Amino acid sequence: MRFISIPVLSLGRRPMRTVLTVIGIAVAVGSFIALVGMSRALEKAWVNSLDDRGTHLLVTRKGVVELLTASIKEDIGEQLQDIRGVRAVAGELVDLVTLKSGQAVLITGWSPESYLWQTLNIVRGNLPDFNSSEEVMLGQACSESLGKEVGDTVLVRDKEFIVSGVFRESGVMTNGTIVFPLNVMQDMIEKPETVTVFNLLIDHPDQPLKVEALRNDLGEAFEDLLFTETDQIAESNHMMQLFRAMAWGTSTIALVIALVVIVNTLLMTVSEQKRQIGILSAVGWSSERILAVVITEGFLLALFGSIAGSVLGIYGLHYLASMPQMQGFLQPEITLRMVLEVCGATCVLGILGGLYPALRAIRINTVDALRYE
Amino acid sequence: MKNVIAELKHVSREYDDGRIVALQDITMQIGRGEWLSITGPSGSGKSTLLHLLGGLDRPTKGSIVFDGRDKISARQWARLRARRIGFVFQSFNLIPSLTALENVEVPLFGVMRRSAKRRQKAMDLLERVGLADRSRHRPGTLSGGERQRIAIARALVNSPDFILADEPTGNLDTRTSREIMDLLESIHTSERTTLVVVTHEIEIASRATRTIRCVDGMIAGDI
Repeated sequence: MRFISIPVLSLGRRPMRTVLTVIGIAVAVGSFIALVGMSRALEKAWVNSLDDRGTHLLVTRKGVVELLTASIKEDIGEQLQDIRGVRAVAGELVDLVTLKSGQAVLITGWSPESYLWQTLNIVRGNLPDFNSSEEVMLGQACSESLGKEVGDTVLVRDKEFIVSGVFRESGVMTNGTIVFPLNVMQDMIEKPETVTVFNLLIDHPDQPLKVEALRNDLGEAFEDLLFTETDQIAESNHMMQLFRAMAWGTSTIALVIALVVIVNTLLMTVSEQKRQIGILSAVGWSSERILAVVITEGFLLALFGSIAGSVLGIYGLHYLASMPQMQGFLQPEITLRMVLEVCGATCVLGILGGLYPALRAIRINTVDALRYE
Repeated sequence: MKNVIAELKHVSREYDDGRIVALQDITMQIGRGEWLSITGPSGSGKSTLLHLLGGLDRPTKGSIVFDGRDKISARQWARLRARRIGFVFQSFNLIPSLTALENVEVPLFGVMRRSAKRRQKAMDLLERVGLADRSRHRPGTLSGGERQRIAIARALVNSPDFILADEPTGNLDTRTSREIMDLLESIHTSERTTLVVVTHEIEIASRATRTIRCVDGMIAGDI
């Protein structure tokens, strides 16, 4: 018999309670993985969509919390183009619409001369006819979830548009988008001569000092605009920060509940196994060894809970990402490191959760414990 | 007395802030290799005396000296129980979820590192008490006599020189009681261990070389 047999058998004495405790911990760990994974997935989807376009700097309005509600005058693009070091400027109007099917879809508008059209990897059909105001392109995920192909029509804001082509990008967000010619979208959502953001291509994107200098120049020239590098956009965006904070907050609460569940279960175990603790003490087990038994029980509960929770969280997030309503917004982003970190943190919680019941266990009077029925 | 293994000096044990006095000013010595029985009516303090001798309980007054050592801490008592003191209880006090072999192995944790060695030692003890064939049984499937034999094997597994038995035959029939006492006596004789048995059975007490009678928490007789 090994030492581990004692805590394992102790947990096995009440299998239903042990299983329920493990489920409680698993739900907490699963929630953590799914929520934090979702927050990271959204960030990654956004960053990837910008990367697909080759955007170096994203221009947004200062002080705006919800990016989709922001608006910048379209003609500022010409002024941006005049700044030394800016290679290309592409205004982009972005909005979120609900289709008749109830599906939420991201729509975006690009001017006909925008370099963004050249970044699309067209798999079927062609670019829209910019002389027509009735053609749009669909990302492949959007095409699949709507069941629309080249030549079909999509109804957006009570107006029918013909699908001129389908494109495929690595970024899940771009893939789930409907792309309009800018003027068509401006008319449709009644935001004339306005864009939401500008995408900038710059001369030396791989030279941090030059990028920083250019950002300073741009910041001085356009005081009400913010110039953010692509890889920092998700971190600096207020909505993303809010979502991240909510995900972490909710997950932390779930883990605290898991801690309470562990403490509660182990307190019951210690109380029920008072006699066994007395026997161990009577045959010469030290307080430290008895302490280790209870702490190991907490650790084992947390370990099994975190393994089950990891499976639950990974499966849950993939299930969420596969839902039609989420297509185009979520690209499951769960790394091994993240899973190991949350499992590690949960195991530490298990040890901490075992500490108080363990201290109670070693304070039990041996003689009283031996009389306990 | 020469060669004393345990000594109580003016030991009292009170409960409930002194409202209950279990033992009152007990002074006694137990010689190495002695076979001592402690008798007395229920509530006379004989079990309390045994618990104090094994460090399971601490006196409220006075001191206990074990093998010349005074002021023994809780940690030191645990170490002594693990290596030098073996306990046998009336209600066996075996761990129900462990097999007979595992129950005997339990005191070896912290004394023997290797699992295989612990297992072998425990098996040797089960053979010695005649229960090798019951090694995989859990206590719930064994008779009272078998359980007490396992408890004795557990008490002996660390080769103690001081065995404390609290009414070891209290839950057994007459024939089994005799067998258990024969076993304890044979260990006392062969290993020269000190044997202290709390009992209220005259027949068992009469087998000891010395008998202490407790009444109302005091020693009323020592013969």
